[in-house]
Amino acid sequence: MSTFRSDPLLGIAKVLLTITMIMFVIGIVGLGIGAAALLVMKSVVTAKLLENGAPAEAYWAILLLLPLIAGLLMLSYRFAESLRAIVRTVEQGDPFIPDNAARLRTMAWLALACQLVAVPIGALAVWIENAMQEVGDIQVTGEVSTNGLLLALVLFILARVFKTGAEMREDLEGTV
Amino acid sequence: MPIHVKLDDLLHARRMTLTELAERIDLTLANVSILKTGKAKAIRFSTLEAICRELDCQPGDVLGYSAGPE
Repeated sequence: MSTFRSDPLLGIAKVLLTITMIMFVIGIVGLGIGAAALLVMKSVVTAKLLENGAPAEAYWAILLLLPLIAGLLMLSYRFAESLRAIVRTVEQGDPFIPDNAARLRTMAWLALACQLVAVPIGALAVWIENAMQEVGDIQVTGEVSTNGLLLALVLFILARVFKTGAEMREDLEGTV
Repeated sequence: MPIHVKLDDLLHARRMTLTELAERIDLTLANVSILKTGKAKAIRFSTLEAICRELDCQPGDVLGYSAGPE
């Protein structure tokens, strides 16, 4: 168990996950502020868009895109949070618990949800990109990736593995 | 559980304490206590063998079965 605790990978993972979570929160707050600013300054933004040759609908597309990206960040935050909780249990030397099986299952659903949210983001991004070709280079990407779907599948399988592992360990604990 | 452990009676008959048995069969007192109180889910053959050796009895003397609710 001491080897688990002294494993540098766990420490690095925990720090990286915490930093990632902070960045997600900053991103969500930033998007919230951005959406609020868009709402408050609607006329200014619309005028600027029209001035640069973009259609008036671009305003609504951008307004819709921001909460979708914020949603994606929220899902990613929950994913990182679950992963960090799992890392903590490994650190404590007790990873084969039913809670971790549940966490992995949640992560699998989150990975799947991220893929679903990426579809409208991708569609909107393509539309905005086409509509604003004259305005300048705008890069927003979002698409369903095979890797993401594979990740969800792996996580679902790992959740089953952990569930069985937890049951086996429980059995072993009651054996004298 | 329909399976019950008769360790209490055996220890009483042999005038042996739980601590003494735990030391002799090389098991922690906590685990022997779990076994005695019927909270154990399973027993290893090695543990059963050690108990039979130290208490000079048969596995049937240690474990009993009575039909009843699970």
